[in-house]
Amino acid sequence: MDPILQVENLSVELDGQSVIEGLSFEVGRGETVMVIGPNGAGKTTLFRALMGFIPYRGRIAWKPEARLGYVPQGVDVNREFPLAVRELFHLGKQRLNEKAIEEALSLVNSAGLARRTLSNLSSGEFQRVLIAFALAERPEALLFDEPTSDIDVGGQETIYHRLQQIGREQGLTLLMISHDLNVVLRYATQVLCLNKGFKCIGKPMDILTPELLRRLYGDEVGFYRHTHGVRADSDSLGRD
Amino acid sequence: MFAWVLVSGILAAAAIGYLGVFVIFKRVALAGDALSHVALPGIALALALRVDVLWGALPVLLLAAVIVYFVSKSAHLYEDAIIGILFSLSLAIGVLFINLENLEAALFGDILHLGAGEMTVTILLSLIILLSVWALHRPLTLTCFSSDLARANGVKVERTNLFFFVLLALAVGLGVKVVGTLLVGSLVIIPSSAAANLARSLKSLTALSIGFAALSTALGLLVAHAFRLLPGPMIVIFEGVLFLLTLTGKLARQRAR
Repeated sequence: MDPILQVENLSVELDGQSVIEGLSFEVGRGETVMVIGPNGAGKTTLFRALMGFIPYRGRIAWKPEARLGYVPQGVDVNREFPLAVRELFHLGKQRLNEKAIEEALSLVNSAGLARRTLSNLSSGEFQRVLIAFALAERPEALLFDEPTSDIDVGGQETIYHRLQQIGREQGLTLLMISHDLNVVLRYATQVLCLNKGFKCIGKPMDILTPELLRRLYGDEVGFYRHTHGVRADSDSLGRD
Repeated sequence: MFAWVLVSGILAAAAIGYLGVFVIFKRVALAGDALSHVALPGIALALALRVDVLWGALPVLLLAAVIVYFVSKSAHLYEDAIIGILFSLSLAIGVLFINLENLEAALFGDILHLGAGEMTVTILLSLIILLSVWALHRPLTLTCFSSDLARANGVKVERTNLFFFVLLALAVGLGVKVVGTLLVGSLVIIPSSAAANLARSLKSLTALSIGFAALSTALGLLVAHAFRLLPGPMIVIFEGVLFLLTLTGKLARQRAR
């Protein structure tokens, strides 16, 4: 495996509280790593550390000069700002022309959104624009923090499918936070689960056992309720 | 002479209107207001030292900008409360030390009585602010939009925020001369809020905000000059009218949809 990212003994504290402790894993080029865990487990914190936004202890080693794309969660973005979609693309590292913007948008089936205003887009459209914005910089790895709710399941499946295709075509490595276990089972080459002190890493088939899910989310599995009625409770995963 | 007053006022308002775009979308409107009141003790100091009030207001404002920056950076402090405290404390100290004959000018501005030197400084500073915001508009916009997205695109978010507050302090210093410490907060917030009612892009938001600020300042100054009224309140009233008009337009558009 040709690693694009090596993490050794990573620990992150937020406001004096340990959020991630002693986490180690490796990501190969072209892999799709899905991070799962309940709310507040430190998934977004992990991504922010991987992007170098926050201080951490331990070692995070990206392949030298690796270009990273980042799609923040909707809540971390000011959606009121009357920014035209094409203006967002003008703010990126490279100044894209109109044609390149159209191309980036059509990558995620959103051609025609360029002249719309970000504050008038639906949650799904908004997220696709953020993905297109990240992809326009031709990243080698994309870190995608999926929002917990708000987005229709059908559209979401399409986006994962599309990202998977782009990943294959361009050798893009994907790191995603996901709340939908169906998506995780279908697309992940590696699953990373986080919940306070507890963590596990492995292939989805090997580690996504009912026992693990109970350990991760507790007995109530209230977590599944906001996956929009998709049957993803531990029993229906059909594996013991 | 009045023509130069108009030019200085309009340029200062334009600079403040441009920054106002980022103030309302960074959700630091209160910080802008607090800054304006901090100018008052500075003005008191300048009056005591018999120098132009701008030289008293600016250092105090810059100091306050740095304080506001650190407060806004720290997640542990009650940001709103601290800014509120800074705000009322400065007002209290300022009012205590400024004598009555100067108080009106300090609170409501005295742009109609600017000297030639003060006008030159106002015009130059306005141009510097306008150019700086223009030069920084990429990092400023990205930071307003999402600080993590800005960082992912190589923006030094902390540095951008510090620059932003320093520019805001300079702009507020100018605004104090135009509409006074009590009303300069409205100069920051109203034109950009009115623009946001209509704008569908950053370009139109910026153009409208600068345009509204300049227009209401021009109208306010002309009316105040003609009828011997205080220009500061007149300017703010015109801004308020523009805001109500744009709000009506926005609501009508929403209903039509």
